[in-house]
Amino acid sequence: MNGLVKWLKWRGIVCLTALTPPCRQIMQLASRSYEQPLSTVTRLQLRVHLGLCGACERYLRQLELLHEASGGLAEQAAAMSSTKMAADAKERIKQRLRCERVAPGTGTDNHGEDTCGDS
Amino acid sequence: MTVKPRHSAPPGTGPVEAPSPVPRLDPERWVDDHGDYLFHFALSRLRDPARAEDFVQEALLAALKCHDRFEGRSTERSWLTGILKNKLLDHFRKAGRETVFTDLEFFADEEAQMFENQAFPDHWNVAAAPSEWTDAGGALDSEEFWRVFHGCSRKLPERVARVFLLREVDDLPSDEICAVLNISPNNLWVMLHRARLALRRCLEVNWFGAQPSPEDTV
Repeated sequence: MNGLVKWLKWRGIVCLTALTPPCRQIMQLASRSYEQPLSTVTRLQLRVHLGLCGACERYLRQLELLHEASGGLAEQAAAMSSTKMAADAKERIKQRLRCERVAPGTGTDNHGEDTCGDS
Repeated sequence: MTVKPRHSAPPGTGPVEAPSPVPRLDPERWVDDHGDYLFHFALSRLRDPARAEDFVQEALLAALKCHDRFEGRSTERSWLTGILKNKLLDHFRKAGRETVFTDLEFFADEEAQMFENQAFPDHWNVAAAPSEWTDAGGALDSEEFWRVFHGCSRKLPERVARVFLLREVDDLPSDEICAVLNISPNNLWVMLHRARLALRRCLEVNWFGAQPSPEDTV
């Protein structure tokens, strides 16, 4: 019985949403709305579809969460990441910075240390 | 253009707070304070540790040359990150001259499957329709969520990930991304849409606990 109700509900929803573009296209439009403003007609279609289709409405909410989370991804991931720059790479960069301050643009310092070169 | 190096104050003196009107110049401290962050930033966009190191070095050298233009309006880290970002964009601009077919095909089959519906073409396949995420808002406070999210973003193909990071993480306008990577708006939309579909699916399986299909796990 439950299965039948579920099936009818699903079918009813699909019938209603048939008045608007199919879910696949609605999802493309939803994604595109983050890139450029949609036309009034498209916005209306989107709204009608989302009012009727639970799956698309859920998807859109999850897309919004994804969008929100993405802004913090760089900060959060870097803060937790175990990825560290190799110690010798850091030393090499420090060395280059030292050289650059002493003799800008030359890549070598005044003390003649050969570690100041590019290699 | 040469810049007279200012002498840095001895360590331990003065406030360490980044946004001060005249920051003292200590480029070697940049490496200690921001090196790992910048490296991680470059690595997630290049996926090659040696090249990531090179770009960090290049960015810091550039920062040293123009440090007098840093007015303390942003934090030191975001200033340095901005320089690194510009270096990477220059690199992408030179390198990204061709759109690879496989980038546009990424997740195409999966998308088709998600909307495989015999009775109503292009509507959700019941099995693939998004399930409700419980406590979705709370996820952002969880360290594990960010780990999973990062893992998911690393599973995207490199160029698709690059487009996604530039757009969603760096918040670069789409037309600028199209210009930098020399891709059409349509290709950009396709890649972003598929990246979002893939990330959403990956999060659903690995964080919100939906039943995975075999290739889904991080």
